[in-house]
Amino acid sequence: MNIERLWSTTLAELSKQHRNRSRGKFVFFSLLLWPALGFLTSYFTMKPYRSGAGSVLSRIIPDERIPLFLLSGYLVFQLFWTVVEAAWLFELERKGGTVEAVFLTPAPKMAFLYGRSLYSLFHGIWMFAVFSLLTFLFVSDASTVNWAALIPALLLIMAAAVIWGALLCAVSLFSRESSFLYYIFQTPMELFGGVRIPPAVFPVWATGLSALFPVTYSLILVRGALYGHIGAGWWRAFLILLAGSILLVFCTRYLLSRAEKHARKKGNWTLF
Amino acid sequence: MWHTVFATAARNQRANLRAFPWAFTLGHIIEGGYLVLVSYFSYVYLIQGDLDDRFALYAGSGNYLAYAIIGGALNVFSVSMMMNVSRALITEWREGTLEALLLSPSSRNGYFLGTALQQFYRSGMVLLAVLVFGILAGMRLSAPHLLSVGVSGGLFILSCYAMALVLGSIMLYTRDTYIVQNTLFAVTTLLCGFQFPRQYLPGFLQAAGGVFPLTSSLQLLRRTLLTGEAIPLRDTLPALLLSLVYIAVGMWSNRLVERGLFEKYQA
Repeated sequence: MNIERLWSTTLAELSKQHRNRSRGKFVFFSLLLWPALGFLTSYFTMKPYRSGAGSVLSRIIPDERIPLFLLSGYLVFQLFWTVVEAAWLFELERKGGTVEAVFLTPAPKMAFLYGRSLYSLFHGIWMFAVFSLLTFLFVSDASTVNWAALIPALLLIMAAAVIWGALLCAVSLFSRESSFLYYIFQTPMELFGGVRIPPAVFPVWATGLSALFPVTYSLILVRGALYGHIGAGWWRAFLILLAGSILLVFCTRYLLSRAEKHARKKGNWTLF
Repeated sequence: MWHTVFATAARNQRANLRAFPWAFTLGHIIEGGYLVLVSYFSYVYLIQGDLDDRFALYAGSGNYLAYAIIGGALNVFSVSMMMNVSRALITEWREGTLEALLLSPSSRNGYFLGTALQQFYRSGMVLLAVLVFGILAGMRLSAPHLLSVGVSGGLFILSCYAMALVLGSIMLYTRDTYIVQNTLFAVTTLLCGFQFPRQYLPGFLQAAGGVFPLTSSLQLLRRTLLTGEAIPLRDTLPALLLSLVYIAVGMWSNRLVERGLFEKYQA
């Protein structure tokens, strides 16, 4: 399998996805309006908590940082959620009967999965830019931001999101029913990943669960860089995310070959 | 009409059990479980019970855990109730049975009520599951005033039904369920005060929330559940009147959309 074929397949998948999914209206709602309303809801949900000097909340999240805390949480969450959606939409490709066409071509399937996941990320990138802009408007003093740490962290997070999305696509190859992705990944990813509540306050069993989601590490990276707190914990999260993502690439490859075997055994004439 | 109500409910129940996996209901139960968990984590681990002084004043009770869990449960309940009633006609259209339905002399109100009835015991199950999770998480309620709970519960269901009728005609008109329903639910979650007292919202958003009958019926139901007090009957009037307006508008707009439906698109 040479690089050129991988590259051309990825490009082909990107352009296919673009033709299928660039319906502007839908993107506006799912990537901008709903997250914005969700962000406002969680902001007001925190209003009944006592804030100000001496309150329990201010010891965990300083008052002036609450909007930034929530925004950075939603930003990273959306990044991962867009790729979960890519896997979720995989179902349509199976229903439409186009998966077998892809599988019959000599195109490398890994590139096919990564193309899907990558497109979801590009698809949401303008939303990501708007969210980031808002985030920085909320930073009272931009001097705490450690740019040298933030930029590589964001790049790593995007790569991790694409890898995560490709893995979920490979998982979706086993079943036509992919609504489970929604139930497993929406609220749990938000709760255990620490979008609204920092995982530092969780009980032990919940910390174990939050260690399973890349969102957790990504949030440690982003928040650490925004506040300028870069210590051993930050580097640990960086290394775990990096090593975990590389491991997940191999997992995706393994799952893909298993899924193909599974389909040959259980599928019918048209493979699925 | 009653004949249609029971026939529709029985048909939908059968279709649900036979054609659709129970993953759908299971999903709602899981979602309810998470709602309880989110409230519990926020209250117990994040703020350790340290509440704003105004909360008890706004909510009528200082019991945050019960407030948030009841709010979350009623949110899940209203979403599934509104979603299934409003999607009824467009689902018929997608499955190709709408024409037959429109040609039959059966009562349209009966049809919607039947859908709501079947949905009611499905959502009721979800509600029960959430309450069980809630009690496990330490939610405690005082003895309820049964009549008030019954009246305000009925009013809550009525307002879900009323909003679903209007929503359904919008869906049928735009031929879209996903965007319409999710936008509405994102708005109601923010404005109706499921998770926090509405008084924390800025004035214009509070006023905007008053447009939905859900808002006031939710406040009534939760207040009587939290405090165990009776609610004066005249407090139920705004929600009741608003629901009746929604039902009238929904019936009218459904008829209008139905009339133009087959002229616009050859189904």
